Amino acid sequence: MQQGGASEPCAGSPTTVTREVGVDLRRPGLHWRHLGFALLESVATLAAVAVVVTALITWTLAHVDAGRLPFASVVGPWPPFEDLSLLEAVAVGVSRSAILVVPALIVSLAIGLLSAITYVATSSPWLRTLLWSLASIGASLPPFFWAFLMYLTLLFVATRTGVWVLPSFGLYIQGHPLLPIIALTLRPAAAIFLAVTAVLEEVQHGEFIRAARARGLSEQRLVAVHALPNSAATALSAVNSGLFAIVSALPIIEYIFWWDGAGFGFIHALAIGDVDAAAAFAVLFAVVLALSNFASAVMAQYIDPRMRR
Amino acid sequence: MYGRVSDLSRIVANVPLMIGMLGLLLIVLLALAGERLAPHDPFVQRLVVFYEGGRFTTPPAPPSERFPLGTDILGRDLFSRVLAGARLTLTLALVALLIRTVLGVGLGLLAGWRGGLTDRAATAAASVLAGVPQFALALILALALAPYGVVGFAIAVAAVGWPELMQSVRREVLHLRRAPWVEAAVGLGAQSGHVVSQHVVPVLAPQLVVLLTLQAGAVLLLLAELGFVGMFIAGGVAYYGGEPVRDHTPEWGQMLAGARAYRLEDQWVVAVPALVLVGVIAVLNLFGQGLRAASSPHSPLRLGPTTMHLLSRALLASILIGAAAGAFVAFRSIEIDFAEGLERAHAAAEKVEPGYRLVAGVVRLDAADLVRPAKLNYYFRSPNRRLLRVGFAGADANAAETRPFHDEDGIHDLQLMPLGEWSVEWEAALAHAETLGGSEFREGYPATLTRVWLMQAHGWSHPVYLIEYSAASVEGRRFLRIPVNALDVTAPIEFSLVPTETLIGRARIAAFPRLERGVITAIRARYVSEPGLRNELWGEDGPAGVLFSPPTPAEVTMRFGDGVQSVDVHFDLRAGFFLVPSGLDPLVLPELSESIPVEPSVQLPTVDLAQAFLRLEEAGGREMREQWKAQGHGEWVADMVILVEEARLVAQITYAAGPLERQLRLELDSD
Repeated sequence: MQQGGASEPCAGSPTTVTREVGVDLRRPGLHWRHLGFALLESVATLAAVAVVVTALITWTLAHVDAGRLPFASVVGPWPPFEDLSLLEAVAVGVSRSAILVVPALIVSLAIGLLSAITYVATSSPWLRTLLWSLASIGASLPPFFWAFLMYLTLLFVATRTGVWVLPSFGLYIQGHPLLPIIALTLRPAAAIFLAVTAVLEEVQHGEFIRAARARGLSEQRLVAVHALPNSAATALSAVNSGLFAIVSALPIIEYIFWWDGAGFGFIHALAIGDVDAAAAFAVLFAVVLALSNFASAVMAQYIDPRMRR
Repeated sequence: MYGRVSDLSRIVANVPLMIGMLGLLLIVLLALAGERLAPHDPFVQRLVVFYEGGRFTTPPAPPSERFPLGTDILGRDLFSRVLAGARLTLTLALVALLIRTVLGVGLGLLAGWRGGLTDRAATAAASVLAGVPQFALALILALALAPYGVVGFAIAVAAVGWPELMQSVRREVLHLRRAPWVEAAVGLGAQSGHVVSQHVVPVLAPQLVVLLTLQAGAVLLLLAELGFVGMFIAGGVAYYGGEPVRDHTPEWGQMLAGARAYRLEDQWVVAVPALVLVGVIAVLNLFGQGLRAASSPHSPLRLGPTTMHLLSRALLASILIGAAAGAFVAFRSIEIDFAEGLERAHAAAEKVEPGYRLVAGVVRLDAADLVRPAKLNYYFRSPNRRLLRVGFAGADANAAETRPFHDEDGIHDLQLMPLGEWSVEWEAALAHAETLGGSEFREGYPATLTRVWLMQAHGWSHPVYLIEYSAASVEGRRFLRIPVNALDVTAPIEFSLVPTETLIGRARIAAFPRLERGVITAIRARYVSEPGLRNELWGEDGPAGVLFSPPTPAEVTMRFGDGVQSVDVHFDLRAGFFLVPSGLDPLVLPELSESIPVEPSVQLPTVDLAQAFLRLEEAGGREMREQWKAQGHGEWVADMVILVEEARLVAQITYAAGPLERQLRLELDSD
């Protein structure tokens, strides 16, 4: 067999093995056709969502007196989006909501991954029980609960002491967003922890891990080199679900904290009977979720070669 | 192998499952017996909440020995409402869960098993619905379906969650289709329905139970979120255009409504239902997590296949049977007729105080529909002449309201006597009235509202239906009232003119509830002279000579500070008021005024308005009036207000006579 040569694969390379053994060990490229279909599907779904939601909102607001909606008097007029065009209102809503969504997503990923690694790496049963229990509680209680709890706590402190510890609510106060971010973070963080932990635990029983352990690899190196990369796809999927959960909770969380983002904008638009704005914000949520799904599909292929086949 | 003992120990060691199971038992108990365990009537509103020793506060009242979780802003006991609300809340959740299950599992099985176009269509529908946040979509749907009451609300809550369920089931079915036992059954020629029901669904059962448990939590969460923004099933305290709308059957989501409109100090009122809801959601989610751990192949808490299948089938059957039974009960009891309403109203009145007797029944009908009542109202009077109204908005058994001292229809109960026997149904009376000019009136005024009163005034020898047609027109409000004999629609009405047994001025109690807590800031007596008779019952069209309404010589108003919302709340049993005979000079009031004590154990803080008035008169009022009279201003009006200022009772009176006005103040001894 002729050796070397710029165009010839070297011995032992995936191409050589493929030719000699008949098994394709090459890392396949991204499955562009599949991704193209996924993109088309997302666009078609978005179009359908836009049509359905707009029709539904138009019909609903035509049949109810928007000024008499139960939340109309509570949300009041439309100051944050006053004198703005629809596009500008959506842009303002997106930028304000991003202040909550992006940190919530990053923090939940960080907490979820770090606690999962700690759970797998630690030998302390107490720590494991504590982490698992906290995650179970976190996954069981919705953002609405955390938001409400913090809201009431803050009110209690404020009415007792007269001090607004964190002036994060009050639509006209550009207060800081710590409370809504915490409320949005806890459940996705717990969900990421539970998902990644389940994969890590499963991988721990894999033959390649046992083989690596038998060859003397340290537990830390096992987790870092073998277990974590195998859980990347699951973590990605959990992050996608987390983003879904955060965006889904956005309207009620922003309503509780009077945070003038897209979620509050949606309720506000309904309350004042603005069909265009309500439909725009509803479609905006759909766009974010569709983009997240598509990005997740691309990244899953990038992270996990098995997904490309 | 998995023995029963080891399975039992695994169940005990599965903490989330154990907490979930105990919690579920408690929830089932709440749903079945919650209303009976309630220490107070959950419907009774209180203008003032009284405690032992004469202490009192305006609602919302904080937790106390009498009201362990406090009261809402209408003075209704929160603990009783939480208990009584369990049935409707959980029924609604189960019904929504049932619809989600039918849609999600049915479409998931269909899409996963059949594949092809069916799969694509179902998946596309699910993707579209899942593309919008559940809360946002449910909010739009709840608004759109609001006219359809409980059914519409259940559909709105159910329509948004099923895509997740469908996708999970579809994924599993796609996987199971390739299972050897399924392929073997297909190979042997079994029908698709048989294979799915016998070989796919049983394998899915454990996961289905987990999914349904989590879905139940999701439904309740949606109820809470919708309730918080004011969308709920059975009325409650919501604010529509700044006006409070209050009523109806307790439901946990509804109890969260209007929180944003409360004062900051009163926000804790919504904490009670919020914590209850979250507790139930947590129980359901913990149960789901525990079940997931029990069915996961890698979990140390996994149960044996036999136990898991038994458990999952039992749970699945319980969920489905419970949901179906709940749906049957909830939907069956939605619409009630006059007789059913009367039966329920009697029971409600008995709970408030035994001895109430029916004095009137009113059927309200919208312009567009003369068949289905827009509201049923039943009026009762106690031996102590206290009025009680029990109403059912939309003739809906779930929309009950019980309000003491509330006359929504202007029945003027004091002119009425307890109803005797009647044999004609209201529909027949209405039909007869239609032939006597009712239909012509409605044709002339399309927006006519119709009310059918059943009543028996003093002097009537039998009950009478009074059918009132009313419409707004450019000439003002138009009325047509047609009396119909309630024993025989064609027979004339027999009555004899007798004097009403006591001419009593109507005491009006108004309150302004959203004010400074715990302080009655004013009790106002307005002395006006309005001689002459008003025929309020019959209007100008009534038969000549039937005059029952007394003049209104005095109006007594209890005010609770400077209200933002002026809402009449004629209800509290313990709100003492004064009965003032008609046609008398205010100066004669001392001998004739009285207050009505209700609960002997409660010391009612009363102020003798007449004494206060006399003292103000003696303190310069009378002298001043005489001076005014000498100046040619003999007619006067005096508004007296009893104020509570820094724990002192102060009487303040404003005399007015023509352009003259003067105010006097006097400190009183509280009694």
